[in-house]
Amino acid sequence: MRDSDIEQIRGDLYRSYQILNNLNLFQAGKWCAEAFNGLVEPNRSSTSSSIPTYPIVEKSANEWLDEGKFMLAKSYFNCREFDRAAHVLKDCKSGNALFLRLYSILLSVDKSATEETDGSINVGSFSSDTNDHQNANNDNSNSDGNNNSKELLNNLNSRLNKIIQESEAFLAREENAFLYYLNGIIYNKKKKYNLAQINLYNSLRLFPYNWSCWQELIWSFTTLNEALTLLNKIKSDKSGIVSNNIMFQFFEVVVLQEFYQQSSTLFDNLNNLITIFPKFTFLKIQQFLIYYHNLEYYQAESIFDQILVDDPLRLEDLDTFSNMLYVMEKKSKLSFLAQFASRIDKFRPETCCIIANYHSMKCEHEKAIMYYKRALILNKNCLSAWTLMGHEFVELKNSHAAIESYRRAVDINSKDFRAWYGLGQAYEVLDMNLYALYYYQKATILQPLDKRMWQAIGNCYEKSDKYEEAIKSFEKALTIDTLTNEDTGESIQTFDPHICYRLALINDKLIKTEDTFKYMKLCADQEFEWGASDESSKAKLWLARYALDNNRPDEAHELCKDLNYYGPDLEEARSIVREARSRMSKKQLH
Amino acid sequence: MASDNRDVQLLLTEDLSPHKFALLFLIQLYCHHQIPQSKVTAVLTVLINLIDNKPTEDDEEITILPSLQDVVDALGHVGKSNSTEKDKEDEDILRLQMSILKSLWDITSVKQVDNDLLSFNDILEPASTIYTPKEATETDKIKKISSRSLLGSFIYKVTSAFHLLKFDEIFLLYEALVEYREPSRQFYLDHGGIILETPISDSIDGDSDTNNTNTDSQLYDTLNQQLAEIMDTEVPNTCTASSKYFAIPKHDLQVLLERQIHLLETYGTPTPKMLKDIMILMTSPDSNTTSIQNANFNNSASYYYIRYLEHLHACNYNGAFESLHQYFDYMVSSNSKYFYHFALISKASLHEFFGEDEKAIDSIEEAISVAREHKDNSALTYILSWLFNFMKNKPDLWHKQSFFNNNDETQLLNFLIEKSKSVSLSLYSMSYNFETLQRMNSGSTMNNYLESIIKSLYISIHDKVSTFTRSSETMAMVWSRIGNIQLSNIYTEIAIESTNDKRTKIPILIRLNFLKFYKGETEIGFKNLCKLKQDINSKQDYSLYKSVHIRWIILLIQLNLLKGRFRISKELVEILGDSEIKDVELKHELYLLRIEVEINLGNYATALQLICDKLDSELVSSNIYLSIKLNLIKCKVFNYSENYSQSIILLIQQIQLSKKIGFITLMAEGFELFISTLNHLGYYEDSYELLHQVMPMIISIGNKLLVSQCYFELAKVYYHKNLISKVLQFLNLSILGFKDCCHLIKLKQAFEFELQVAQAQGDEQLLHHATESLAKLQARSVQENDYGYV
Repeated sequence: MRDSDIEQIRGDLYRSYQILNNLNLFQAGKWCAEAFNGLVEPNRSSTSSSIPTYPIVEKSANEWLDEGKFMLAKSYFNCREFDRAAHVLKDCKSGNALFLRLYSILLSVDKSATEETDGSINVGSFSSDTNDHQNANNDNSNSDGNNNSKELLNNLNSRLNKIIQESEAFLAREENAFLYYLNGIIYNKKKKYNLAQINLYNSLRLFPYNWSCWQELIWSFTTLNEALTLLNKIKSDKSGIVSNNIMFQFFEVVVLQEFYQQSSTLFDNLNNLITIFPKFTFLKIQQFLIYYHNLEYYQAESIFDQILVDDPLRLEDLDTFSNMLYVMEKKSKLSFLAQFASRIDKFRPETCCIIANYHSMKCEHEKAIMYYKRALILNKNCLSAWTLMGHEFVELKNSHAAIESYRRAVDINSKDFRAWYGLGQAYEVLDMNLYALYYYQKATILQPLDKRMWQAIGNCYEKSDKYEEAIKSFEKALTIDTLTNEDTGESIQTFDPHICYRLALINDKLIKTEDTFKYMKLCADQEFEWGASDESSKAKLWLARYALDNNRPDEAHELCKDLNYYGPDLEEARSIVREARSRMSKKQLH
Repeated sequence: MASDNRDVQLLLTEDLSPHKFALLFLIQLYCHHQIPQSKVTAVLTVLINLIDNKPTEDDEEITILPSLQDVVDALGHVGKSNSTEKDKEDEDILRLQMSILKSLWDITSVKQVDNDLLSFNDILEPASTIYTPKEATETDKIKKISSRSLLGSFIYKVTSAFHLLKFDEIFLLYEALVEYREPSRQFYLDHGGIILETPISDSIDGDSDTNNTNTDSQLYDTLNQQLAEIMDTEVPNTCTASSKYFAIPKHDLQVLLERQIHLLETYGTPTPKMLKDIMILMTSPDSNTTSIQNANFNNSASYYYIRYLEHLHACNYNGAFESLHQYFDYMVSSNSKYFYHFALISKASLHEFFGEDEKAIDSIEEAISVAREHKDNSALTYILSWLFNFMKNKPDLWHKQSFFNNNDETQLLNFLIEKSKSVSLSLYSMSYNFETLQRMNSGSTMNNYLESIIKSLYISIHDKVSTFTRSSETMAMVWSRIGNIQLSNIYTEIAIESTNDKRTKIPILIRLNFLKFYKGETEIGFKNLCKLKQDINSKQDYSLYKSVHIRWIILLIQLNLLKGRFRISKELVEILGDSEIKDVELKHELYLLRIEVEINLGNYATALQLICDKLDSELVSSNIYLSIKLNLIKCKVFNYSENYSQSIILLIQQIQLSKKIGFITLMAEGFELFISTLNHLGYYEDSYELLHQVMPMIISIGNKLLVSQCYFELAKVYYHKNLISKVLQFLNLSILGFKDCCHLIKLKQAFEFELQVAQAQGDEQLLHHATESLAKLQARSVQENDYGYV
């Protein structure tokens, strides 16, 4: 990329920051400022003056007219008096002033929803279907309270509708990126994702540097296909207003990363971005997440270590890092991180999640749950807390609570395959296999290349006596295993002996002896690669018995002679060996 | 406390502190048989004392937060013995001390604390175990402790509290532990201990992960350094804590505060500086406190109560008043339902203490109206009891109050008896005690007040022992006034036997010895009191010591009076007059003594003035006993100033009054005076008649001095009847009595009379005996006088 382009981006980011900050869109502003500071250093010698110049944000006539009120409203907004801020702006003309007004109302609605309910219900999501779900979850005795909250939510919902009406009325006259963005947020809350996407896209067309808007767009996707369709649609737009913008590259990277797509586009884009923004932590986090999702923990760890050193007080994403340390069983590092985060800010959801992970690792599940709950009080949308809390409840054998936690997680973000998988597991524990199957399928749609998902599905089919489907699922799981191994460049094809054995058993039940033999053999053969396991020894026994039945005592003897078995298997092995020997000696006698 | 520059932070805890960990380790040593066999009992005693937070004996101040060094020292004291194997024992004890220190100094990580605490559960017998078969005496076998036992429940309490700690709390406690063991570092190193300094990375979890690479510890160091630079804080390690943490278990502190309140209320022991410092830190709004286990100290209100008591002792009215208000404000916030009356009574007590009786009455009036509003019967009764106790000594106040229409205590008393019946037996019995005193003092007949006291005694039998003791005491007092010495003695003995409480027992013993003194066993009474005074340690129990001391001085004055050392008596009286005496009976006693001294010094006018002042005051109208006593002394003055006719009428009045009420002792005194007056006036025949009638009654009272005086008068009567043998017989009896009582003045009078008789009879032998005795007496009185003035 040329220097002039970079300077262009620098200027755009600066301007965008001013605009976003002016509208109190702090998170987006923060992102811009971070990106601005993460850019490559300008080549000062090449430019004429050593003092950098930044563009001045222009204002329309209406904006100048509203300026006084706008200023006042912003002060109220900053003092968290949202309704007051909205009231001040009620006669303003400009689009930005209207945005701030409607945005204040939105925040006020959200605030009262949190205050009046237990804070766990997201306004907007209260559509007819979720309504039923809520009722089903609640006790009948609680119906009075339920009615009250229903009334309240209806009231709040109608306020949201008013926001949309007002903003659409304005947009019919004049376009405004932030009003589109606001509509997008509300439609997202109402789970009307198509409308949300249209509005958000319109917003980005007008003002691409609003990262929150991109983020909102990502949240509106429920499936990878949906995301890919939109990506292609934007790319095919001939004007290229959006697709040519640097922000689109960020978007593409994050979308692919969130949907676990390890394609070359992803790496190309990411590397390209890193050359432009070498000091931008956000990109390093994407790198970390890609490695993490790809189970390359040590690389991921070293990236995050560097992030910590560069920006020690940054708590964002530290919880994800702690999840990884948990999986890596790095107890002392997790403990250090927990203390470290606790020193920085005890009352951040991220800190609570880290501490919860720490407790979970020490098998103190009740304490872990307490900290997850604390995280959720601090941020009701803290997705990972819901999912992880579900895991803790599973550990405590409290399936019902686990189901609720997972459900909350998927209600917030339906892309979380772990939560869907957890739901499936919880129902499986309760022997509700069809339910479990539904949730496993949901998880598999999100994570089609994860053999655990297919195994789980196969399990459920097997339990509900649908053997054909079960076989298909397990076979799918087996192929995935092979494929991933190919990806890493290893030529040896390996098959999970466990899956092989399961396949063999199901085929045995269907009296498909050939297939059974095939899988038993496959399973037994894996001993070289995976080492001896329970399944492989059982497979060998089966093969030995099969050989014996087919009058091949030498083969049976060969398979069982090590006597590498335990318990009843050992007895069986002995008897096989005995029989094989006697038959062999008989053969010799003949 | 703040000996170095680091912040001092109080770590408030519910029931956990590093000190408790040290005790756990001690228990562990005990269970692993690592305490020398000969010292097990002593070490366990130390352990129990430490668990119970009992103050160590040799300290004058209570140890507030025992340090590790305190524990080590306490174990060291166990080793002190004079046995022949001293060296070996010392070695054993040192080994024990070092084991404790080693357990604590070996802790290098939070994880280790966790593991150590888990290991304590191994000592515990499962709760379901009912019977454990005794193993053979294998010494290597770990001793198991039932979780129901004292040590077991302690282990259980500490370990379970620890496991409920939140994440950051565990680390705070760990830092406090690091701080706690720090003072013992030198001792530990001096005796060969080894301290492992671990780098941060290890101290964090003590779990050297297999995959814990160098890079990780480098990362920790870098991050820690950055944290220190940016936020001035660090992830803790074993070497130093970022601030000084003092872990203060709420429960222990509460116990300490209660104990201090008790000490202050009863003995006036000064508050230890440490406790003061902690409380100041805790109560000041800008102090650095951290808390774990959600401990909060709204109970630190007790501290203000301590401050209030301290101010009272320092007679700082404003300070006391302010602290008391502070105390109420914090107490009310803790929502104590029955608190208001206590608040108002405390305020009333404060006013009473500073002599502001009217304000005290205002407070109590408010308390009464509040209690009535809340329909709180028990509080009301309690308040009224307080009021009665307060008012019974201050009858003049009845005119200043407005809550009772009646201007005397009868109505209040009736009300009290009525109400207390349903509230508590103790108060009910006390009400009857009050009634007894009230009836006795207002001149009711003997039947009346005996009825009251018997009711009180009957009720008290069904209540706590302390109530019974109090009733017995009153009973003893009643019988002593009636003059039935035997019954009085019996009830005094019952009272003494029924109580073990030093603070109840000692006043009874004082009274007993006082009575002995007056009954004529002067020497014994005085000696016993001296012994009592020596037994009480003035440092431990100042208020008790003070009360014994005052009684002792009073007896000393009496003794001096008997021996004719009037000037020194006067000086002592003046000294006592300066000290504040709140006990009304004692005040009266002292007043009578003052009059007595004036009489003996020959200042009759002054004495009469004193008597008349007292008789005119309100007080006497409600205290018949005192009024009779004063009048009798007045008669004595009249007799000394030879104003016999005035005396006779007054005496007859007093004798009649005493008889009506049943104060036989006073009646006897009256008769003795009357007889002496008759003798002075020359009505020997009448006095002879009278003596014959009253002598049995006087002898029955058992007052040796009184009996001797009567014998002396009888001797005089016989002398005028010329029955010399009878004269000598009774004179001899009286002289023996006076000698027993050490009454040198009377003895001198008796010998002078003997001389007179000898001269009249011309009996050489008698003359010689009289002169010689007088000379001896003279010599002794000179000696006494010299002694007195030295």
